[in-house]
Amino acid sequence: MRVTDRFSDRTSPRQQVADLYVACREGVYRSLITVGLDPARAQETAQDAFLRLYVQLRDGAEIENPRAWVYRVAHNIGVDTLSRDARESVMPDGFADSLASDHRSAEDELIGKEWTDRVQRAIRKLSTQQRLCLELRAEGLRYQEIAEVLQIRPSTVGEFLRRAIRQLRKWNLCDQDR
Amino acid sequence: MRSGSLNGSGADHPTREVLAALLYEGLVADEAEPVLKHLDRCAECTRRVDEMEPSLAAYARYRETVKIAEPGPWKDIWSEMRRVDAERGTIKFPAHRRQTVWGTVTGAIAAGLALVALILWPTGRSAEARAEVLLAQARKAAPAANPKKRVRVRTARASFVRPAVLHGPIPEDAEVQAKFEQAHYDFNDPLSASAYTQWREGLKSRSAKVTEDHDNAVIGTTTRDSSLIEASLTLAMPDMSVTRGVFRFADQETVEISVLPEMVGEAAPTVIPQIRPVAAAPVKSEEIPLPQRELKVWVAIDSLNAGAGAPISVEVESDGGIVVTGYSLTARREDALRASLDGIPGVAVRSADSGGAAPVDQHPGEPAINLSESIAARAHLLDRLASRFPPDVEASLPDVDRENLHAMRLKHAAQLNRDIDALWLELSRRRPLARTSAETHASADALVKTAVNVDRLVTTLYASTADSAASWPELGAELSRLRQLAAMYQRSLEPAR
Repeated sequence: MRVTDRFSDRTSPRQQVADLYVACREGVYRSLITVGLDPARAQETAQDAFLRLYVQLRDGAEIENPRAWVYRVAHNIGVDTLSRDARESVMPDGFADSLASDHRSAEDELIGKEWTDRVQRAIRKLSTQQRLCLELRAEGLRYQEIAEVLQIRPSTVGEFLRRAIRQLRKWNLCDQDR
Repeated sequence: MRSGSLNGSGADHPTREVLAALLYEGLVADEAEPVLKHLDRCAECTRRVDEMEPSLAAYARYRETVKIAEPGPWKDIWSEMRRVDAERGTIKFPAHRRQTVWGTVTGAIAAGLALVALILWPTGRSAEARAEVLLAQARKAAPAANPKKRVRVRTARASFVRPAVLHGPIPEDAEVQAKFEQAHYDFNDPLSASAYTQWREGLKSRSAKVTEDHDNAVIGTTTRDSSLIEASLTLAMPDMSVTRGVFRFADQETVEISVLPEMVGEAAPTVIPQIRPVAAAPVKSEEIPLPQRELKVWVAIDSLNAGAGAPISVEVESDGGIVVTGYSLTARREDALRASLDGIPGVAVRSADSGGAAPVDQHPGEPAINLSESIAARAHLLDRLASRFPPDVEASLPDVDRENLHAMRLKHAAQLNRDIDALWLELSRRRPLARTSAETHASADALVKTAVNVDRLVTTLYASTADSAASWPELGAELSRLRQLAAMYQRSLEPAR
């Protein structure tokens, strides 16, 4: 679900945040898992980010793009948490644990374990930033929004995605006919 | 250099070749950004990219297929927001409130304000009446002009510090000042209740909105009678001092002006040598060495006061050409950029239109966040100058250019130190910070890394609903380090070139 960037001035901060919360909490949660937070912390951090947005709006802050703001703040808190816990690694534990949870759909079984394992191996080769750019893009964020979340230039987002694509292509992921 | 990222057809869609270059070969930043901006608003081209590169679709498919661990039940956000509001008295929020800065407020005003705490005024007549009452009180409580008082002016393209009350024009303000003048708003003292009142009273029709709590009152006015279509002032309670103003113009440009904390024990100001204007002699590019031409470009951009944090990039190409790209510049500012670079051989000026996009930087409007962003931008600029003009290159420059480079570095280093001191004071209002660093060597690279880290920590802390005690020691240590690095860096510039 895509959320409009600028909410109506007539909408109260509570309503704005509640609408955004319903639309984007899963996406924010997923992005935090991608960064490497464990599921419990990811959910807690996602909820916290929305509350912070509420406080800002309530206090009169002008936030041009609340969706990007929430992702950005959640990302910052997530990175900060990982940094404090000294848990950063090429393949963060939280992400690995989350994938290992084996919550697979029937469709997944149909497609075949071999293909998903191959994609998973390819994704493991990506840096956190590359993976996060892919994830946020798949979530529907624009390049400019991803740049705001990661506090980098849009061209750097493009470069992360290009490198991610190069890595994914090596694993020949596209031979899975659907 | 690839010429023309967009194909120039009626719809200006990128060619397949350009999209392929973006996906597989990589484009330099100045070429990639317009294409990415186009993709952000063109569903058709996004579909073309997806068709060209199936890996993206494969990832999306994988994402739908392999489920990550499901989150637990989500909290009810409505009750959480009510809880945050209820706990407000005990939670530390960003320091909107200025303590005894500009005089005292009468007991009657304080008592009156206490009664209206936590009232949300609707728009309409009652809001209009309330706005007038508040503005009258603010005018009455306004202290005499304080020459030490400084404000930060922030637009989508620039950020600078100036005296709160001007007694003559300063070059940084020229463009912003013109906007305010056109709107008949007194830009010499923009954060005064009098200037705001005067502007409001000149409007034939207007709509007011007032929001109050026990820390602040925010008075907003919208109108169609002026090029300034929306303006709000934030008053700190109970002293009624104006701490912030946000001004939105008809062209959607927003100017934010916020009061900086007063400097305590301010050091003697650094004397910045004058930067000499660039000579505009019509000569061929090969007659002037590249470093000299590049420096002239930097000096010209700096003369527009657009050096730090401005969306203007400078890239040197393999053939010695210099490409200057301005992002989302107004026509007026782009003209100024072209004029300033006119006469420097081998320079191409491009503009990347954002299509009316939002300002490049988002900022929640807190002084600490603004300061830390400005610090990081300035550190990046100093780092860029250090990497483009290392000692051997600098030594090859003529005297006048070396002097200009030195003056530019010193100017930004001095401003960097002032901003760091201001940030230190701003943060100290929330919680005392301990000085912990013992740096022995300062480099532009270390400055950037530390400044970026400080910016990240400040952003995280200031967006917090509750005081994140665990992060303060880290922020204190990093800011201490930055302060020391910046002071050493500036000292290293001061003795000699």
